[in-house]
Amino acid sequence: MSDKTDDTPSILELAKRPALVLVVLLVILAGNVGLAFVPLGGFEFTANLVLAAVSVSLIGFFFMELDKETGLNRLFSATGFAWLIILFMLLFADYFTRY
Amino acid sequence: MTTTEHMAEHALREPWEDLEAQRYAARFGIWLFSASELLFFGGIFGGYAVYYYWYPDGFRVAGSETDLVLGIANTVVLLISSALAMLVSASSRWPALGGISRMCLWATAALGVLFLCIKGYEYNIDIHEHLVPGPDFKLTEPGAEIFFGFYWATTGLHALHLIIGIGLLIRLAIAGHMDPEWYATSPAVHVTTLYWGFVDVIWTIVFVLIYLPGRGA
Repeated sequence: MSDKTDDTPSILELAKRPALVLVVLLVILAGNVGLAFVPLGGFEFTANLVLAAVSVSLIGFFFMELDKETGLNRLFSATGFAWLIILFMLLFADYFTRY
Repeated sequence: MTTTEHMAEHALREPWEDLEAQRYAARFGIWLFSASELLFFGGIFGGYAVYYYWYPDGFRVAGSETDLVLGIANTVVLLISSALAMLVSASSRWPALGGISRMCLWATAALGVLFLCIKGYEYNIDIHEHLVPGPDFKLTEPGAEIFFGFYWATTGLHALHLIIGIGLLIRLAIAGHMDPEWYATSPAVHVTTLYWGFVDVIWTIVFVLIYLPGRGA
């Protein structure tokens, strides 16, 4: 038995947002691949990582609905990356200072 | 009992006393889980960073040996599936859209299976091209074999997470088939689609680390 009320949106209305985010992500992907072929003297990898970070932010914010989450959950999603940064800081402090 | 009360009774689990608390806890739990899984992969990413620093040429040579076309195909497949998962997360709130939500869940799972097929095909090519670390390894540059150690480990772990995700999506689709109005009250849809989004986040990072180094040479 359908509960269809007057305010049930159509699937096309709901699909607009994911479709838009998907198009943006595909454009970033194309840019990332293109950038990898540009000889930037070693900096293309950093540039690729920056674009990947943008993609990850978009996926996190829209596909994983961070924009609808409570402040606590947003803090937790940031905390994962904060701990990752601590891991990298400690690794690099060791390995990048060895001579 | 009204439809809403029936839905509520069906979706409520112990120890929570009301759906709002259950939903809050579920969302909190999956984000906590995602953070810990990020660190799980973070160890691998950290190791990759150190070895890239030590063997930049070896990593670039090895990176250019990976199949970029298949890597791009896989990334596109996962991005589309994540967009579908986001759609499911939105449409599942409306009981009238239950049928469409179920179809999208099956479609997302199917795209996950497609990803695994492409990956399997790629693994087959890699094995035949002697890109498995060992005595038969194709490349001689120092560090190239380590790169492929990371390749097999990272993509293998990611595939494992993906298989679990496909299982969760199928379970959700079947549960919705038996009770189409369960989606609107249960936090299970959000938890599953969030897990799927996490799998996509990991692949986005893996794609850059594995498929893009060394292309500019």
